[in-house]
Amino acid sequence: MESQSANDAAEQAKAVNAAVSAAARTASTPAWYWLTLGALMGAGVLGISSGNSIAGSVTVIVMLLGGRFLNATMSRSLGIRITRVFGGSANWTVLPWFAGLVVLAVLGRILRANTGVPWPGIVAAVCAVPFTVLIGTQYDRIRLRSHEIQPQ
Amino acid sequence: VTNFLDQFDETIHAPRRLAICAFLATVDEADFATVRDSLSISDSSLSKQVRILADAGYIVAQKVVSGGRARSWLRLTAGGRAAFAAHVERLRRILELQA
Repeated sequence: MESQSANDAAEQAKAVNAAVSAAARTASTPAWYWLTLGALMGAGVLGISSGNSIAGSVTVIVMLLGGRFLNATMSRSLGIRITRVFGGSANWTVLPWFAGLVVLAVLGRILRANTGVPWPGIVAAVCAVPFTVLIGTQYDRIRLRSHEIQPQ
Repeated sequence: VTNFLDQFDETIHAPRRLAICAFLATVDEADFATVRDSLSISDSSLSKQVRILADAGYIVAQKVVSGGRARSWLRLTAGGRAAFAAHVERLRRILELQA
């Protein structure tokens, strides 16, 4: 009975791993998604760090609408929906990402105000792109691998 | 290990339903065709398994018409996610005991 249960469990683990691998093959978020999202976030950081309330508001609106459009495009092309950032209830995994973007925007704003040149804001905006790609790809890896059962 | 057979969830235990739950656990929602193609399951088989999972309250299937085309979106419910996570946790424990 015991070995039957163990064999059963091993077979079940294989089925779970195969399904997660299938998800990794067909439901991985494409690089263009994270790059475009990074560019949107960069625009938001640039707008906020400018210190101009109109520019800040406009870029935040562009960021939110662009995010929704991007998610709709991805769900149409891949047949999956993975992020709730712009679509509904927030997921705790986005908190470090948002926190990092806020830090970049605030740093850009402070340095820009202190130096009087726009470069810190631009640098912060550019940094938001690889930061979003890094967080996004890690999020994707965790999303796909956390359900996998490691073979014994 | 011996009480594994008493503890596992009959609804999730079937290989195809287990695979469907495992796939859906990695996403918020997935299109019916994406699940079918990814898991190499026929339309009729997937429909049947989805119906069983939906009857158990583990999956919600929602038809959405977009661009004149109807698509069925499948999503694990909170109960479905919890049941799948518990099932996987039991499998991990058994495999650890055997290691």
